[in-house]
Amino acid sequence: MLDTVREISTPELIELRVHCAGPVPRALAWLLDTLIRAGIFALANIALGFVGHIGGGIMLILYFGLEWLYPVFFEVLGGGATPGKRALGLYVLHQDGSPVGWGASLTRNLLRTVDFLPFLYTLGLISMLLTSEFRRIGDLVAGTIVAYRIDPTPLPEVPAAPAWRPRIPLTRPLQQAVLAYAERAPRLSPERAEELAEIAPQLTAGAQGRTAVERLYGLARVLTGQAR
Amino acid sequence: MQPDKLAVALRPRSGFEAIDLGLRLAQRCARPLFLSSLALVMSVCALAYLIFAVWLDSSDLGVLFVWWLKPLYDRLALHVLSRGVFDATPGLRETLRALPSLVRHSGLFAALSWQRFDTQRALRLPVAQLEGLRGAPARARRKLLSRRVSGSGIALLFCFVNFEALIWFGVPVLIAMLIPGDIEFAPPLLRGLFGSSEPARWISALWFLSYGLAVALVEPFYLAGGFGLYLKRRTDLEAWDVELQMRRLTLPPASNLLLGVVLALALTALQPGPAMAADEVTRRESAARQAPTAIKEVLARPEFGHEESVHRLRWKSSNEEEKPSAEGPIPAWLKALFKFWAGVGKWIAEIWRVFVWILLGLFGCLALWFITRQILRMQAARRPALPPAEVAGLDIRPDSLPDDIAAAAQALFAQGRAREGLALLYRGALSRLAHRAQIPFARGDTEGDCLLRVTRAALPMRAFFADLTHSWQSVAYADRQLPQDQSARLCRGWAEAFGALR
Amino acid sequence: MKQEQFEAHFGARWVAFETWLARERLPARARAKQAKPFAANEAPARYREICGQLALARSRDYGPALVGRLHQLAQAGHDKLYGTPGGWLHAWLRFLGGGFAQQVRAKKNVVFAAMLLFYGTYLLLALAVRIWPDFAFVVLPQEQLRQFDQMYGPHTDTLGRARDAGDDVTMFGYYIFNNIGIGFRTFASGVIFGLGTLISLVYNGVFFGVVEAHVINLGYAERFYSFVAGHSAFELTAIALCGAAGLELGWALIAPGDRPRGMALREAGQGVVGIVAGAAAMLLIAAAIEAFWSPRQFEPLLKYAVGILNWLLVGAYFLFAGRRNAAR
Repeated sequence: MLDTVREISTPELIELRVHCAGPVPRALAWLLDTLIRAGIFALANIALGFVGHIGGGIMLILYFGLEWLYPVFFEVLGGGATPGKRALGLYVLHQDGSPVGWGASLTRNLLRTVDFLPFLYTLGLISMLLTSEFRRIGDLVAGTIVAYRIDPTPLPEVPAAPAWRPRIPLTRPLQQAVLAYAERAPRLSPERAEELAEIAPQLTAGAQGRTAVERLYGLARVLTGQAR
Repeated sequence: MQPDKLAVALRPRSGFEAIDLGLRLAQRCARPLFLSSLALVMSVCALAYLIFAVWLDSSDLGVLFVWWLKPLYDRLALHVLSRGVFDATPGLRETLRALPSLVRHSGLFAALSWQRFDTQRALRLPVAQLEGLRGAPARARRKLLSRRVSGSGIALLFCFVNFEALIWFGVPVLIAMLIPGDIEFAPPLLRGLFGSSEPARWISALWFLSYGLAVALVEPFYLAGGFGLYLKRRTDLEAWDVELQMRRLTLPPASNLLLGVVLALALTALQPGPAMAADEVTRRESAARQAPTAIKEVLARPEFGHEESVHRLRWKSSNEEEKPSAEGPIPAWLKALFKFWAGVGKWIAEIWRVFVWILLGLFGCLALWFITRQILRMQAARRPALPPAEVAGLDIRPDSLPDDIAAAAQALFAQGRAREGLALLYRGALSRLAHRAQIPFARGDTEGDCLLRVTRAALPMRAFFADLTHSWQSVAYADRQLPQDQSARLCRGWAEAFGALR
Repeated sequence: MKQEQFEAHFGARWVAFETWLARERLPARARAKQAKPFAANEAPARYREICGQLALARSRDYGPALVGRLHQLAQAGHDKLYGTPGGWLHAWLRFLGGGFAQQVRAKKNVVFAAMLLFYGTYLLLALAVRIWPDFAFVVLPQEQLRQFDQMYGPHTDTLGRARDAGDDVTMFGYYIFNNIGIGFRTFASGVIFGLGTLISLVYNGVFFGVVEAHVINLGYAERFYSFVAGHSAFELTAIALCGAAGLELGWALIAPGDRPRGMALREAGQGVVGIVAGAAAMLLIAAAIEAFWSPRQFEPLLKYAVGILNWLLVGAYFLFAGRRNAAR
C-alpha cells in the first residue's frame, strides 16, 4: 500500500506513525519564516536607527543570527518547529522518531547552503521530489524528517441510538471500523450509510436498512462509553 | 472500479497530506509518467521553437504557447496516474498510444479556452477525463469536489508555479556559472523588467529548452498533487476507507458480489466515456465561434504584455554624502566593504566556475564508470557460468584428473584400490558432464541431485551414469565390496560413454 | 482481568505520570513550586511500565478510549525521555570545556589533511609573492590590493581597517557575520564530494598568503603582524577545523566503506557537527579580539607576546583538554 507514513517502533516497541510532509507545506512554511525574519530585521533596523554608530554592528549580528541560528533555536527549543512550520502544522524529528536535537538541527540548517544551489533551493526541491520521505539534502545528512503534527483524534460524538452489543468478540479492527463508521456516517447520504452498515451483518445480527445503522451507532456508543 | 483494488492507503487525510500522497504516486509511476511527459512536451517545444522563434522571431510567444498547452500534458499524466493508482501502470508505448483518444474525449477544447485559468485545474480534470461528465452535471460535480479543498488546491498551484520557475531558472543559472564573461541572461517574459533587448539565438533556445524541461518534470508532479486531492475528496464523500474496514471484518462472498454491483453503479468508471449527445456538439460549436473574441479578451489582460514605467532605486553619486551615519540601512563603511568584497566576489565566481567544471567532469567520469560496469555485468550475465571447482565434495577440475581416466581407474582396480578407482571414475564423469556437456551442477549438489540433473538433460549416457552413481554410493557410503566383473564393466562403460566427450 | 479492574488497578499510576509530564512542561521556576509525583530517577521505569500496559490493553482488545489514552501517555513519555534535555547553554559550555577537543582528536587524520591544504597553500603563495612581488597582482585584483596598502599603511590610526570602516562594535558584528558564515559554508559545501570545502580551503590559503606577503613586501611587516598576531590562532585554526569537517562529509560520499552512502553521510555528519559548532565559538572569540584588541596601537612586542600566548593556548587546548573523561 502506497502511503506517506513512516512507521517507527521505539525501543519499548511502541509503534509511532510519522506522517512525512511534502514540498508544498514546507515551501509555504519557509516563505512564512522568511517573511517573519525580514519583519524582525526591518523592525530592528528602525529601532537601531536611534542607537547611532553601534547600531550597524548589532544589526549585522542580528542578521547572522536570523540567517543561521533562528531555525536551529526554534527547532530544538520550540518542539521541533520554527514559527512558519508551527503555522503550517509541521515539525522536525529524527528519523528514529525522537525529538530533534542540537546536532541534527544544526547540520540540517547549515546544509541549507547546498540545498540553496544553484538558485533558491533548486537542489533541495529536486532532492525532495526524488526521495520517498520528501527529504532535502540537509535532512539526508542530518537524518531528520519533517512531518505533520497530528493530534490524537478525540472519540467521535455518536448520534443517539439504543445501546447494542453483538455476540461476537469485539476485536481491535472491529472497534476501529465501528468508530470510523460512527464518525463518518452522519455526513453521508442515508442510502450510502445503510449500504455500508449492511456490509458486516455479524455486527448488526443481520439487520437491514435503518435498523442496521442504528445498531452500529448503538455499538459505537457502547465503545466510546457514551452508553453502558 | 472498487476501492479494495486501490494500491494507495485510504484514510482521512488533510489537504496537504493528500497532495503528498499524489506526489508519492508520481514517484512510483515515474518511468512512464516522466518519459511520456518528456516526449510530449519536448516535441511541442520543438514545434513551438520552429514556429515562433525561428519563423515568427518571437521566442516569448513560443514559451507562452508551450505554457498554454499544459492541459494537454496533464491529460497524459492523469492517464498514467489513474492506472498507477490501481497498481496497473501502463508502459510508455501504451501511454503514448492513448494520446489521440485523450485529445478527443476529455474536454480538451474547454480546458484550453475558458477553463485555462481555472485555479483548481488538476483537481477538476478527473471529472472530465475519468468520470466522463459534461455540461451541467460536470459543473455541479466540480463544485462539489473542490469544496473544502480549494485552499489546498490554490496552495498547490502557487507552490508549483514557483517550483517550475526554480527549475526553469536553475538550468541557465548553472550554465551562466560555467561560462566566463557577462552574458545577457534575462529570462523571457521578464525581459521588459530588466530593460534588455532580444538575446542571442542560442540563449533564447536555452531558455526554451530549460522551460520545456521544467514543464515536463514539474507538471506531472503538480497534476499528481491535484489527483491526490481528488482521491481525498472521493474518499471523504463516499467513505471508501470505512467501507474497506468494514469489508475486512467479513468474508462471505455473496454480499461482496452485491456490493460490487452497487459500487459499479455508485462510482462511475474510470474509463474515459465517449463524447455525449447533440446539444454537446452545438455547445462546442458556439464556444468555438466565441473563441476568437475570448482569446482576444484574454490576451488583452495585463499578464500578456503591456507598458509600464519602472522606478528603480539607484545609488546616489558620492558628492551627496553629507550626512555620515544617520542615513538609511547602508552606511558608508558597509559600502566600502561591499566594494572591497566585490573583487573577492569576482574571484569566488571564477572559482565556482572552475569548481563546477570539475564537478561536471567528475560526474562524467562517474557516469562512464557506471556504464562500463553495467556493460561488463551484462556481458558476464550472458556468458554461461563456469562450473564449480567441486561438487558433492569431489574435485571436478579437469586438470586434477589424469588424461585417460578409464585406464587409470583400471590400474587402480588392478591394485585392489577399488574405492579410489571408483571415485576417479565418478569424478571424471562429473567433470566431463560439467565442462563438456554444460550440465549446471551447483557446489552444494548431492549425488542424487547430480543424477537428477543428468536425467533431466536427457543425455545418452544417463543410464550408465545412474549405474555408476549407484555403484559409487554403495561403495562410498555403504562400504560394500564391488563385484570383480562390475569394475571392469564400469571402466569399459566409462570409456564408451565419456571417451568421446573430450 | 476485565477492563474496569485494569483501570481501577493502574489508574492512579497513570494520573501520576500525567502529572509528571505536565510538570515537566512548565518553566523551571513554576516547576520548583509544584510537588513531584515521584522521584526523577523513577521516570524511565514508569514509562516502560506504561508501554507494557499499552501492549496488554491492545492484546486484550480493551476499549479505544483506554488504548488511546495509554498510547498518548507512552508517546509523550517517549518524547520527554528521548528529547533534548534543557540547560543548553550549560551543556554547550561543557562541550567547549573538553568534548570539542576530544572530537577533534578523534578525527585527527582529516584535521591534518585540512591543515595541510590550508597552511600548505598559504605558505606556498606567501613564498611565491615574497620571491616575485608582482605575482600578487596576478592572483588578486589591483584595487583590492590597494585596500590592503591602506589598511596596514602608516596613514591610519587603527590597524587593519580601511579609512571609512566603522567603529569597533560595527566591525565586531561584521567579523561575526562574515567569518562564521565562511566557516559554515566551508563545512556545508563538503557534501558535494568534498569539492566545495577543498576550494574554500585553498582559496582562503591563497588569499591570506598573498595578502601577508604583499603587505610585507611593502614594508609594513610590523604593523601587519601586530594586527593579526592576536586573533590568528583562533581564526586560522577554526577555518581549518571547518574544512576538516567538510572533508569528512565529502570522504563519506567518496569512500563510504561497508555502509550505504546515505548512512555513511549521516554518521559523518553526526561525528563532525560538534567540531563545526566549536569552530564557530573559536571564530566568535577571534572576532572579539580582532575588533577590540588587534587594531590598538600598543607596543608591538606586547602584541606578539599575546599572539604567541594565544597559539600556545589553542595548541594546549586541543592536545590536553578533555583527556580525563575521554573514552579509552
